[in-house]
Amino acid sequence: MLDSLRTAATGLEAQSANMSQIANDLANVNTDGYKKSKTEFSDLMYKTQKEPGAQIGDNSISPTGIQTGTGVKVGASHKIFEQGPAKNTGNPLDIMVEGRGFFPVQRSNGEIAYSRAGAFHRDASGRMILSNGSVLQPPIVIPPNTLGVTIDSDGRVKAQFAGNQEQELGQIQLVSFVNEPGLKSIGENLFQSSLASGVPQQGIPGENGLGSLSQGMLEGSNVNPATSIIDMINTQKNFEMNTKVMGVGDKMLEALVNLK
Amino acid sequence: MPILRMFREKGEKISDRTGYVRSGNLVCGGRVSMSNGMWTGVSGAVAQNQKVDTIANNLANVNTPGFKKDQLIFQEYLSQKERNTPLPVQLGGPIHERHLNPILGADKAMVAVQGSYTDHSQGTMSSTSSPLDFAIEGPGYFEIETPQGVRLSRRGSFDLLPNGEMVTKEGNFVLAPGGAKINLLGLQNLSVDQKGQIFSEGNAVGRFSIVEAEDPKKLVKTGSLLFDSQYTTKKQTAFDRTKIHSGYLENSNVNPVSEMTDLISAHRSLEMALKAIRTYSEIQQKEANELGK
Repeated sequence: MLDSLRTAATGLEAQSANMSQIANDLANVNTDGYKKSKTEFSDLMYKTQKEPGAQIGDNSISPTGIQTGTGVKVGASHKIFEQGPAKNTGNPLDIMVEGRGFFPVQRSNGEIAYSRAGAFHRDASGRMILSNGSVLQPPIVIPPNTLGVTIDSDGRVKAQFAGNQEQELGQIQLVSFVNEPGLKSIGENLFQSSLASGVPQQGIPGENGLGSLSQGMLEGSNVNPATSIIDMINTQKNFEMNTKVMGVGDKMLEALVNLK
Repeated sequence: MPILRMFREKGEKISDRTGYVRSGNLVCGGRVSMSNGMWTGVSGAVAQNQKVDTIANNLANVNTPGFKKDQLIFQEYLSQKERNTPLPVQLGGPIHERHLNPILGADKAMVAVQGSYTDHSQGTMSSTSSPLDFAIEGPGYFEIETPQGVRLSRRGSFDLLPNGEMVTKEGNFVLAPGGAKINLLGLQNLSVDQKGQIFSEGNAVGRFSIVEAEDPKKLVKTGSLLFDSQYTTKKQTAFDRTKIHSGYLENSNVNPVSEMTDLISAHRSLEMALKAIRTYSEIQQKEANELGK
């Protein structure tokens, strides 16, 4: 009876971990470049009281064994890097990646991070930065007298000046990983590489499987509120079922205690 | 429930020699020792308790992809004497002790858990839109290499290591037929057909090893959604009944409705067994305190 209580407790823990993920997804339903999470469960080890095929008589072996499971655990939680919907913003420094690839940026503490949210701004010295202050790598500086900026699908940034003058400022590079779900989320729409994600492979947008860029667009969150809410309902019911198991375990113990 | 025969005495003389004992107005079958019947109740309580443990595990894994539910089988456990009981004399006329089955240990009949088996029936599928998620329709398992040896699994939720090797979420390797690891380093635009063959830009680059177990009931669960196939044989599937679906995961095949119903019935059965234990206890108390007066 204590076993069933503990098993139900693992169920409650797993379902509540799932609920936290769903809550975070729904909270970020409007966050540009946000990628939804997925919690994956796996069963815990089994107590084997009798192996199948064990000798039970002179000429007979048991056709089945006795195994009792001990519950569930969160096996993995990772991001799903499905493309989010395109949002037309009209802002010339909003860039969307259509396909695979991340913008490499340098955070204020010097670390390199990667982002899908290409909502860039200019800082005081004209460098392209994200709203959290991370600087696009390699840096692209937009001169102060620029009238307009065009960004090609392969990442070349050109500035227009008065008198139909045009100058190429640089080329935006994208970075891809062998195993994107292995990236570590660090908040502010940024990811960091890990041993599981593999080393970043830098390349030109549109080449070698990297996505191309489109200016004036942003990638919306890929959270689908309908499926998230269905997941939430399911998770809540599963949580409740596990509390019921706990209640039954409790009643059984109580009945046992009151036996005498 | 315990095989406890109780019938009203009809003024007949009953000798202790035959194995029936008088207890107040009741005649209870069985040898004098009452505690045996109590152990019958205990066996019922223990068995139902184990059933609740199994249900708890099924319900905890109601959301675990590729999970297969467990069921318990109960059996009646009889003593050796009971199995060799001679047939009773034909009944006719007033019931007399010689017309009845000699009990000779039948009150030692108990319930025992004979075995647990895993229900390998198909789970429903849900779309995950992840290119490295696969569901198997029909019989068949992925072959997974773990540090303990090759195991089988129904959960096709995979990842690629930085060196391109395909692994499960626990980091165990996904195998191709023949036991080689699947390596997809640098390959783009992957797709997988219904026979488990992996394509990159139209070229076949690998294949999943999908095996069928000869007797799936003999697969032993080792946790983390893996099955040990050491008690049965496995062979590569011919894909006559089996299909691979890319971008889907197979849901747990636990049916919450039947599990909750089983939970209630196991709970009530346990309470009944406990009630029987309590009844025996009261009878014993009466024997000790009232019979001797």
